Amino acid sequence: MTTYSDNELIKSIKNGNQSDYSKLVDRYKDRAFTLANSIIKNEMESEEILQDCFLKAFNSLNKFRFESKFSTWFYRIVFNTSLTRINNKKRNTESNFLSLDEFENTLTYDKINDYRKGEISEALSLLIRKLPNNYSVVINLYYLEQMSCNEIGTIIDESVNNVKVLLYRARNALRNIVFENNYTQELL
Amino acid sequence: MNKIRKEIINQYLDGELDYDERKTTEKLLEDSSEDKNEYLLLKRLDKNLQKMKSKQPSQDFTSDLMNKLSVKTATHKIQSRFIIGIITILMLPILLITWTVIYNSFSNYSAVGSSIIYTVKSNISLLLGNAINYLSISPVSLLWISLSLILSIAIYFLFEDFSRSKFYLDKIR
Repeated sequence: MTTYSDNELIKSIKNGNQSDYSKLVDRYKDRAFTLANSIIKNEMESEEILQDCFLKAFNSLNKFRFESKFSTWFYRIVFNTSLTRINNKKRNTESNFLSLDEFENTLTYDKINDYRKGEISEALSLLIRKLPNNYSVVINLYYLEQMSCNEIGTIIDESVNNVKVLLYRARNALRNIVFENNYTQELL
Repeated sequence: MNKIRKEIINQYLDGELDYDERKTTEKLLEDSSEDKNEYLLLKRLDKNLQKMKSKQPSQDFTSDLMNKLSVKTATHKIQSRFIIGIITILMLPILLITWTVIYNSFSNYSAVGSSIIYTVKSNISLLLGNAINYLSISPVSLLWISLSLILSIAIYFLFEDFSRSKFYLDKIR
Protein backbone atom coordinates (compact mmCIF):
# COMPACT_ATOMS: atom_id res chain seq x y z
CA MET A 1 0.00 0.00 0.00
CA THR A 2 1.28 3.47 -0.88
CA THR A 3 2.20 5.69 2.01
CA TYR A 4 1.28 9.29 1.40
CA SER A 5 3.36 12.13 2.77
CA ASP A 6 1.80 14.61 5.19
CA ASN A 7 1.73 17.32 2.53
CA GLU A 8 0.02 15.04 -0.01
CA LEU A 9 -2.63 14.15 2.55
CA ILE A 10 -3.17 17.79 3.51
CA LYS A 11 -3.59 18.79 -0.14
CA SER A 12 -6.11 16.01 -0.59
CA ILE A 13 -8.05 17.08 2.54
CA LYS A 14 -8.04 20.68 1.31
CA ASN A 15 -9.54 19.39 -1.94
CA GLY A 16 -12.45 17.97 0.00
CA ASN A 17 -11.37 14.40 0.82
CA GLN A 18 -12.25 14.60 4.48
CA SER A 19 -11.70 10.87 5.03
CA ASP A 20 -7.96 11.31 4.38
CA TYR A 21 -7.79 13.18 7.65
CA SER A 22 -8.11 9.85 9.49
CA LYS A 23 -4.73 8.83 8.02
CA LEU A 24 -3.12 11.94 9.51
CA VAL A 25 -4.89 11.31 12.82
CA ASP A 26 -3.63 7.72 12.95
CA ARG A 27 -0.13 8.91 12.16
CA TYR A 28 0.11 11.44 14.98
CA LYS A 29 -2.41 10.47 17.64
CA ASP A 30 -0.05 8.38 19.80
CA ARG A 31 2.75 10.93 19.94
CA ALA A 32 0.40 13.86 20.40
CA PHE A 33 -1.36 11.93 23.14
CA THR A 34 1.95 11.45 24.96
CA LEU A 35 2.67 15.15 24.62
CA ALA A 36 -0.74 16.20 25.95
CA ASN A 37 -0.52 13.64 28.73
CA SER A 38 2.89 14.91 29.81
CA ILE A 39 1.26 18.28 30.52
CA ILE A 40 -2.23 17.30 31.62
CA LYS A 41 -1.19 14.13 33.47
CA ASN A 42 -4.64 12.61 33.12
CA GLU A 43 -5.30 10.18 30.29
CA MET A 44 -9.02 10.79 29.85
CA GLU A 45 -8.64 14.54 29.82
CA SER A 46 -5.65 14.32 27.48
CA GLU A 47 -7.73 12.31 25.03
CA GLU A 48 -10.50 14.88 25.17
CA ILE A 49 -8.02 17.70 24.57
CA LEU A 50 -6.46 15.78 21.71
CA GLN A 51 -9.86 15.44 20.03
CA ASP A 52 -10.30 19.21 20.33
CA CYS A 53 -6.82 19.77 18.90
CA PHE A 54 -7.47 17.54 15.88
CA LEU A 55 -10.77 19.37 15.24
CA LYS A 56 -9.01 22.72 15.64
CA ALA A 57 -6.26 21.62 13.25
CA PHE A 58 -8.83 20.43 10.69
CA ASN A 59 -10.61 23.79 10.79
CA SER A 60 -7.32 25.67 10.44
CA LEU A 61 -5.90 23.43 7.72
CA ASN A 62 -6.65 26.10 5.12
CA LYS A 63 -4.25 28.40 6.96
CA PHE A 64 -1.47 25.77 6.82
CA ARG A 65 1.03 27.11 4.29
CA PHE A 66 3.47 24.15 4.18
CA GLU A 67 6.20 26.39 5.59
CA SER A 68 6.86 24.03 8.49
CA LYS A 69 6.29 20.33 9.04
CA PHE A 70 2.70 19.37 9.83
CA SER A 71 3.96 17.57 12.94
CA THR A 72 5.64 20.70 14.35
CA TRP A 73 2.57 22.82 13.54
CA PHE A 74 0.22 20.29 15.11
CA TYR A 75 2.35 19.66 18.22
CA ARG A 76 2.37 23.40 18.78
CA ILE A 77 -1.44 23.38 18.80
CA VAL A 78 -1.42 20.45 21.26
CA PHE A 79 1.18 22.13 23.48
CA ASN A 80 -0.63 25.50 23.62
CA THR A 81 -4.09 23.97 24.10
CA SER A 82 -2.84 21.72 26.90
CA LEU A 83 -1.08 24.61 28.63
CA THR A 84 -4.18 26.80 28.40
CA ARG A 85 -6.29 24.00 29.85
CA ILE A 86 -3.89 23.35 32.72
CA ASN A 87 -3.64 27.07 33.51
CA ASN A 88 -7.44 27.47 33.54
CA LYS A 89 -7.74 24.38 35.70
CA LYS A 90 -5.13 25.68 38.13
CA ARG A 91 -6.90 29.03 38.43
CA ASN A 92 -10.24 27.39 39.09
CA THR A 93 -9.33 24.60 41.41
CA GLU A 94 -5.99 25.34 42.98
CA SER A 95 -7.07 25.05 46.57
CA ASN A 96 -9.75 22.38 46.16
CA PHE A 97 -7.58 19.84 44.43
CA LEU A 98 -4.45 20.05 46.52
CA SER A 99 -5.42 16.93 48.43
CA LEU A 100 -6.24 15.15 45.19
CA ASP A 101 -2.74 15.89 43.89
CA GLU A 102 -1.26 14.34 46.99
CA PHE A 103 -3.48 11.31 46.45
CA GLU A 104 -2.29 11.09 42.85
CA ASN A 105 1.31 11.17 44.15
CA THR A 106 0.80 8.12 46.30
CA LEU A 107 -1.00 6.40 43.48
CA THR A 108 1.93 6.97 41.11
CA TYR A 109 4.51 5.61 43.50
CA ASP A 110 2.31 2.58 44.18
CA LYS A 111 2.11 1.97 40.45
CA ILE A 112 5.90 2.26 40.17
CA ASN A 113 6.23 -0.43 42.82
CA ASP A 114 4.00 -2.63 40.69
CA TYR A 115 6.31 -2.04 37.76
CA ARG A 116 9.49 -2.74 39.73
CA LYS A 117 9.84 -6.13 38.18
CA GLY A 118 8.02 -5.27 34.99
CA GLU A 119 8.36 -2.80 32.19
CA ILE A 120 11.04 -0.18 32.88
CA SER A 121 9.77 2.23 30.26
CA GLU A 122 6.31 2.23 31.86
CA ALA A 123 7.80 3.02 35.26
CA LEU A 124 9.95 5.77 33.78
CA SER A 125 6.86 7.29 32.12
CA LEU A 126 5.21 7.45 35.52
CA LEU A 127 8.24 9.15 37.04
CA ILE A 128 8.35 11.64 34.16
CA ARG A 129 4.81 12.64 35.13
CA LYS A 130 6.26 13.85 38.43
CA LEU A 131 8.50 16.35 36.66
CA PRO A 132 7.44 19.97 36.08
CA ASN A 133 5.54 20.42 32.79
CA ASN A 134 8.34 22.01 30.77
CA TYR A 135 10.76 19.21 31.79
CA SER A 136 8.38 16.38 30.97
CA VAL A 137 7.46 17.96 27.61
CA VAL A 138 11.11 18.31 26.60
CA ILE A 139 11.94 14.74 27.72
CA ASN A 140 8.97 13.32 25.81
CA LEU A 141 9.63 15.27 22.62
CA TYR A 142 13.34 14.47 22.69
CA TYR A 143 13.17 10.78 23.54
CA LEU A 144 9.79 9.66 22.24
CA GLU A 145 9.45 11.87 19.19
CA GLN A 146 13.20 11.96 18.63
CA MET A 147 12.92 15.61 17.77
CA SER A 148 15.92 17.90 17.50
CA CYS A 149 16.38 20.71 20.03
CA ASN A 150 15.57 23.11 17.20
CA GLU A 151 12.16 21.51 16.52
CA ILE A 152 11.39 21.34 20.24
CA GLY A 153 12.25 25.03 20.48
CA THR A 154 9.73 25.85 17.74
CA ILE A 155 7.00 23.94 19.55
CA ILE A 156 7.55 25.31 23.04
CA ASP A 157 8.67 28.75 21.85
CA GLU A 158 12.16 28.63 23.36
CA SER A 159 15.64 29.10 21.91
CA VAL A 160 17.75 26.04 21.06
CA ASN A 161 20.11 26.80 23.95
CA ASN A 162 17.23 27.04 26.40
CA VAL A 163 15.92 23.68 25.17
CA LYS A 164 19.34 22.14 25.77
CA VAL A 165 19.43 23.56 29.28
CA LEU A 166 15.88 22.31 29.92
CA LEU A 167 16.83 18.85 28.67
CA TYR A 168 19.89 18.74 30.87
CA ARG A 169 17.91 19.90 33.91
CA ALA A 170 15.06 17.51 33.18
CA ARG A 171 17.42 14.56 32.98
CA ASN A 172 19.06 15.53 36.25
CA ALA A 173 15.71 16.06 37.95
CA LEU A 174 14.63 12.62 36.80
CA ARG A 175 17.87 11.12 38.04
CA ASN A 176 17.25 12.78 41.43
CA ILE A 177 13.71 11.38 41.63
CA VAL A 178 15.06 7.91 40.86
CA PHE A 179 17.68 8.31 43.59
CA GLU A 180 15.40 9.83 46.22
CA ASN A 181 12.92 6.99 45.86
CA ASN A 182 15.52 4.22 45.73
CA TYR A 183 14.61 3.03 42.24
CA THR A 184 18.24 3.02 41.12
CA GLN A 185 18.41 -0.78 41.09
CA GLU A 186 15.23 -1.17 39.05
CA LEU A 187 15.37 1.77 36.71
CA LEU A 188 19.07 2.43 36.17
CA MET B 1 30.08 17.81 41.94
CA ASN B 2 29.77 21.33 40.63
CA LYS B 3 27.16 22.44 38.10
CA ILE B 4 29.65 23.14 35.31
CA ARG B 5 31.07 19.61 35.46
CA LYS B 6 27.56 18.19 35.45
CA GLU B 7 26.71 20.27 32.41
CA ILE B 8 29.85 19.12 30.59
CA ILE B 9 28.99 15.48 31.33
CA ASN B 10 25.49 16.07 29.90
CA GLN B 11 26.95 17.71 26.80
CA TYR B 12 29.38 14.80 26.41
CA LEU B 13 26.44 12.40 26.66
CA ASP B 14 24.49 14.31 23.97
CA GLY B 15 27.55 14.39 21.68
CA GLU B 16 27.71 18.17 21.66
CA LEU B 17 31.40 18.57 22.42
CA ASP B 18 34.13 19.00 19.83
CA TYR B 19 37.17 16.72 19.60
CA ASP B 20 39.37 18.57 22.12
CA GLU B 21 36.55 19.02 24.61
CA ARG B 22 35.69 15.33 24.33
CA LYS B 23 39.30 14.35 25.07
CA THR B 24 39.41 16.66 28.09
CA THR B 25 36.12 15.23 29.40
CA GLU B 26 37.30 11.66 28.92
CA LYS B 27 40.40 12.51 30.95
CA LEU B 28 38.19 14.06 33.61
CA LEU B 29 36.06 10.91 33.76
CA GLU B 30 39.14 8.71 34.06
CA ASP B 31 40.54 10.76 36.92
CA SER B 32 37.40 11.13 38.99
CA SER B 33 35.35 8.11 40.02
CA GLU B 34 32.53 10.40 41.17
CA ASP B 35 32.29 11.97 37.71
CA LYS B 36 32.54 8.58 36.04
CA ASN B 37 29.69 7.20 38.17
CA GLU B 38 27.56 10.21 37.39
CA TYR B 39 28.27 9.75 33.68
CA LEU B 40 27.44 6.02 33.75
CA LEU B 41 24.23 6.72 35.66
CA LEU B 42 23.10 9.36 33.19
CA LYS B 43 24.08 7.10 30.30
CA ARG B 44 21.89 4.28 31.65
CA LEU B 45 19.04 6.72 32.23
CA ASP B 46 19.47 8.03 28.68
CA LYS B 47 19.45 4.47 27.30
CA ASN B 48 16.29 3.57 29.21
CA LEU B 49 14.60 6.80 28.16
CA GLN B 50 15.33 5.92 24.54
CA LYS B 51 13.46 2.64 25.03
CA MET B 52 10.29 4.42 26.16
CA LYS B 53 7.19 3.84 24.08
CA SER B 54 4.43 6.30 23.23
CA LYS B 55 1.21 5.95 25.16
CA GLN B 56 -1.86 5.26 23.10
CA PRO B 57 -5.30 6.82 23.26
CA SER B 58 -8.36 4.53 23.23
CA GLN B 59 -8.92 2.22 20.25
CA ASP B 60 -11.99 4.13 19.04
CA PHE B 61 -10.20 7.45 19.07
CA THR B 62 -9.94 7.91 15.29
CA SER B 63 -13.47 6.68 14.52
CA ASP B 64 -14.92 8.89 17.29
CA LEU B 65 -13.02 11.87 15.98
CA MET B 66 -14.03 11.30 12.36
CA ASN B 67 -17.63 10.93 13.48
CA LYS B 68 -17.43 14.22 15.39
CA LEU B 69 -15.92 15.80 12.29
CA SER B 70 -18.76 14.58 10.04
CA VAL B 71 -21.35 15.90 12.49
CA LYS B 72 -19.57 19.23 12.70
CA THR B 73 -19.26 19.57 8.91
CA ALA B 74 -22.90 18.56 8.39
CA THR B 75 -24.09 20.97 11.12
CA HIS B 76 -22.11 23.77 9.52
CA LYS B 77 -23.62 23.07 6.09
CA ILE B 78 -27.16 22.93 7.52
CA GLN B 79 -26.66 26.15 9.45
CA SER B 80 -25.34 27.97 6.39
CA ARG B 81 -28.23 26.70 4.25
CA PHE B 82 -30.75 27.78 6.89
CA ILE B 83 -29.21 31.24 7.28
CA ILE B 84 -29.14 31.77 3.49
CA GLY B 85 -32.79 30.65 3.33
CA ILE B 86 -33.84 33.07 6.09
CA ILE B 87 -31.93 35.95 4.48
CA THR B 88 -33.56 35.25 1.10
CA ILE B 89 -37.02 35.12 2.66
CA LEU B 90 -36.38 38.40 4.49
CA MET B 91 -34.99 40.06 1.38
CA LEU B 92 -38.15 39.51 -0.69
CA PRO B 93 -40.52 41.66 1.45
CA ILE B 94 -37.78 44.26 1.94
CA LEU B 95 -37.42 44.55 -1.84
CA LEU B 96 -41.16 44.77 -2.27
CA ILE B 97 -41.56 47.42 0.46
CA THR B 98 -38.79 49.43 -1.18
CA TRP B 99 -40.51 49.06 -4.52
CA THR B 100 -43.86 50.17 -3.05
CA VAL B 101 -42.28 53.24 -1.42
CA ILE B 102 -40.57 54.19 -4.67
CA TYR B 103 -43.81 53.57 -6.56
CA ASN B 104 -45.78 55.89 -4.29
CA SER B 105 -43.24 58.68 -4.14
CA PHE B 106 -42.58 58.67 -7.87
CA SER B 107 -46.20 58.51 -8.88
CA ASN B 108 -47.04 61.42 -6.53
CA TYR B 109 -44.17 63.83 -7.09
CA SER B 110 -42.47 63.19 -10.35
CA ALA B 111 -43.58 63.26 -13.89
CA VAL B 112 -40.64 61.10 -14.94
CA GLY B 113 -41.40 58.79 -12.03
CA SER B 114 -45.00 58.56 -13.12
CA SER B 115 -44.00 57.51 -16.59
CA ILE B 116 -41.60 54.85 -15.19
CA ILE B 117 -44.31 53.57 -12.87
CA TYR B 118 -46.77 53.62 -15.72
CA THR B 119 -44.43 51.45 -17.80
CA VAL B 120 -43.92 49.01 -14.90
CA LYS B 121 -47.64 48.97 -14.21
CA SER B 122 -48.53 48.26 -17.82
CA ASN B 123 -45.91 45.54 -17.98
CA ILE B 124 -47.35 43.87 -14.88
CA SER B 125 -50.83 44.22 -16.41
CA LEU B 126 -49.53 42.69 -19.58
CA LEU B 127 -47.98 39.81 -17.66
CA LEU B 128 -50.89 39.12 -15.41
CA GLY B 129 -53.45 40.05 -18.02
CA ASN B 130 -57.04 39.34 -17.28
CA ALA B 131 -56.43 38.21 -13.71
CA ILE B 132 -56.18 41.84 -12.56
CA ASN B 133 -59.25 42.89 -14.45
CA TYR B 134 -61.23 39.87 -13.34
CA LEU B 135 -60.37 40.23 -9.61
CA SER B 136 -60.42 44.04 -9.91
CA ILE B 137 -57.38 44.43 -7.63
CA SER B 138 -54.36 46.67 -7.98
CA PRO B 139 -51.08 45.22 -9.32
CA VAL B 140 -49.37 46.06 -5.99
CA SER B 141 -51.93 44.10 -3.98
CA LEU B 142 -51.61 41.21 -6.37
CA LEU B 143 -47.85 41.28 -5.94
CA TRP B 144 -48.24 41.23 -2.17
CA ILE B 145 -50.64 38.29 -2.37
CA SER B 146 -48.24 36.37 -4.64
CA LEU B 147 -45.35 37.20 -2.39
CA SER B 148 -47.17 36.00 0.72
CA LEU B 149 -47.90 32.75 -1.06
CA ILE B 150 -44.27 32.33 -2.17
CA LEU B 151 -43.05 33.19 1.31
CA SER B 152 -45.38 30.68 2.96
CA ILE B 153 -44.21 27.93 0.62
CA ALA B 154 -40.54 28.90 1.07
CA ILE B 155 -40.85 28.94 4.87
CA TYR B 156 -42.60 25.57 4.80
CA PHE B 157 -39.81 24.00 2.71
CA LEU B 158 -37.11 25.67 4.76
CA PHE B 159 -38.41 24.23 8.02
CA GLU B 160 -39.09 20.87 6.39
CA ASP B 161 -35.46 20.80 5.20
CA PHE B 162 -34.27 21.85 8.65
CA SER B 163 -36.16 19.08 10.44
CA ARG B 164 -34.93 16.48 7.92
CA SER B 165 -31.34 17.67 8.43
CA LYS B 166 -31.82 17.47 12.19
CA PHE B 167 -33.04 13.91 11.82
CA TYR B 168 -29.99 13.09 9.67
CA LEU B 169 -27.67 14.63 12.26
CA ASP B 170 -29.24 12.60 15.08
CA LYS B 171 -28.77 9.50 12.96
CA ILE B 172 -25.04 10.00 12.35
CA ARG B 173 -24.31 11.14 15.92
